[in-house]
Amino acid sequence: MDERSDAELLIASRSEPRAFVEVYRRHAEELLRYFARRTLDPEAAAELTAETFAEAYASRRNYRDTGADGVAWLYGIARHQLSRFFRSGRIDAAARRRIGLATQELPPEDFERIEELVDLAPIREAMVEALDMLAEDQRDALRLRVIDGLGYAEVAAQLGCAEAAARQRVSRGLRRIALVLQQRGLTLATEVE
Amino acid sequence: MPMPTEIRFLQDLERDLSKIADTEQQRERSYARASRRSRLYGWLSAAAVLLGVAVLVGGLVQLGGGQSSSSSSGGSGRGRDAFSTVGSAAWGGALDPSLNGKGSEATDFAGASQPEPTPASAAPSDSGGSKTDLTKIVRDGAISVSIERGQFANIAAKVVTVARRNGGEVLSSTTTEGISGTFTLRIPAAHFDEAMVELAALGMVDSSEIHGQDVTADYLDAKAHLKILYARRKFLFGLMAKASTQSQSLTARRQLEQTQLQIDKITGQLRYLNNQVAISTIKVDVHEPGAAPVGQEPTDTENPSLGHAFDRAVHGFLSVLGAMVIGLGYLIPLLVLGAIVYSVVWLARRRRRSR
Repeated sequence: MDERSDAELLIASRSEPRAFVEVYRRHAEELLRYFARRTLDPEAAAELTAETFAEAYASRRNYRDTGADGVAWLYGIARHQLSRFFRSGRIDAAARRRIGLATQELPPEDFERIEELVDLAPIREAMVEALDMLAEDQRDALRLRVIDGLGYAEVAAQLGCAEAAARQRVSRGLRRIALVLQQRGLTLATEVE
Repeated sequence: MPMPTEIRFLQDLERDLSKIADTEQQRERSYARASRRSRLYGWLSAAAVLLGVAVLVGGLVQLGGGQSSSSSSGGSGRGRDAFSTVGSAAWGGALDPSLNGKGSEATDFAGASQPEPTPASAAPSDSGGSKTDLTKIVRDGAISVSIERGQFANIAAKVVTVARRNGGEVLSSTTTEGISGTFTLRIPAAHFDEAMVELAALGMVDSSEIHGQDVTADYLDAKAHLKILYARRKFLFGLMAKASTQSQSLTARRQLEQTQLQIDKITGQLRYLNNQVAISTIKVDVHEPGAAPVGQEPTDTENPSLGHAFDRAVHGFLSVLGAMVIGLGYLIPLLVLGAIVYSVVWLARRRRRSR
């Protein structure tokens, strides 16, 4: 068992790359849960987890110990990945390519495990309730954006409205869902736009 | 310790990440080895450059110092710069007027060559009224000069001119194949230094030596002995005059003759010493390229150049070592200063980076 802190491991990983694997072991599941709770998509969560660790590994030499725990730096990268995902609707694989990490499919059995990890059931129930409360145009926009994973331009094209209007509908719909989830003591990604 | 995950995707990801980390770790190790090696080579190169610069600086300093020094070693310089001094009378000391004894030597020489019959007049003149320096130094010199090809006849004439201009003469000379020659000059001691300088200016000085021998003690002993003999001779003259019998007269005469013989002998010694002090001998070797200098002639007939080559190698080694030490003396303060500046900059950058 490695007694070193995350910060020490990240610094050590500059010359001892194997130390980074210990950081991964400590935080991989936690980070997967973080992404799953925010995306509600096990596949996207898994891919975001892989890309975040790949990015952290590739840029570990840039890590500076500022006194805060090393995990804060890792979640900084995670937030950035998530933000990009929500902005573009795509998950970048640049970091994985850079370090030579193969892109993997999520095994079928993992879907359920991740859902258990996140405990999606109450979220789903709240979502159904929240979706029923939404106006039809917001519901359609959310379905296209979140469930079908379309970009805002495509959402706008299918709804026959301007892109700005599509953004507004998705945003208001998500805010409404977030409110319902919050009332039930559940969390949803604040990064969702 | 974190619980192992049950999610296969994460397990596979850990396995792949571990492989990448292991590969990179191996690369890091080999890079570190190479880096250590290259750092070692870097330090060795830096040390070699430093020593090279030190030799260069030391050489330049020695060259610069040689121009103002009166006792630099010969071999490659021209003229006075290349003189080396050997023996008790150094070049600098030889320039001391008190050691030259110009006036007294000339007078003594005259006095010794024409001794007065009376004890009073036979005494050396410098003991008369003047209290000048009684030091008697016999100085000899040897110089080997390389000249340009085809210049031997011209330089040989100049050697003669130098001898004459300084009141001396060429005692003997030998030439070989018209490209080298050896000259023995007799130069008044007062002009010894000037003659050496002029001879050195004739070409490239290979070697130069000045020998000094202090004969003051011998000189003073002889003079004291002479004084006693003069007194004895005076006494024997008186005894002979007062002799009442033929036997007494004969005894006194015999003793007088022996005393006179001793006086003549010591006077001769004094004359020789005065001559040696007053007139210096300079051996001059002049040679064109390809002709071996006289001073460098091999002595070992079976292995003619080995001993000399070894001497030159040792001399060269010591010269380079000396130049290196001198150069390091100049460079080390600069290096220390540089190291301090570098440390300050490095610490500042490190602090800024850690913020």
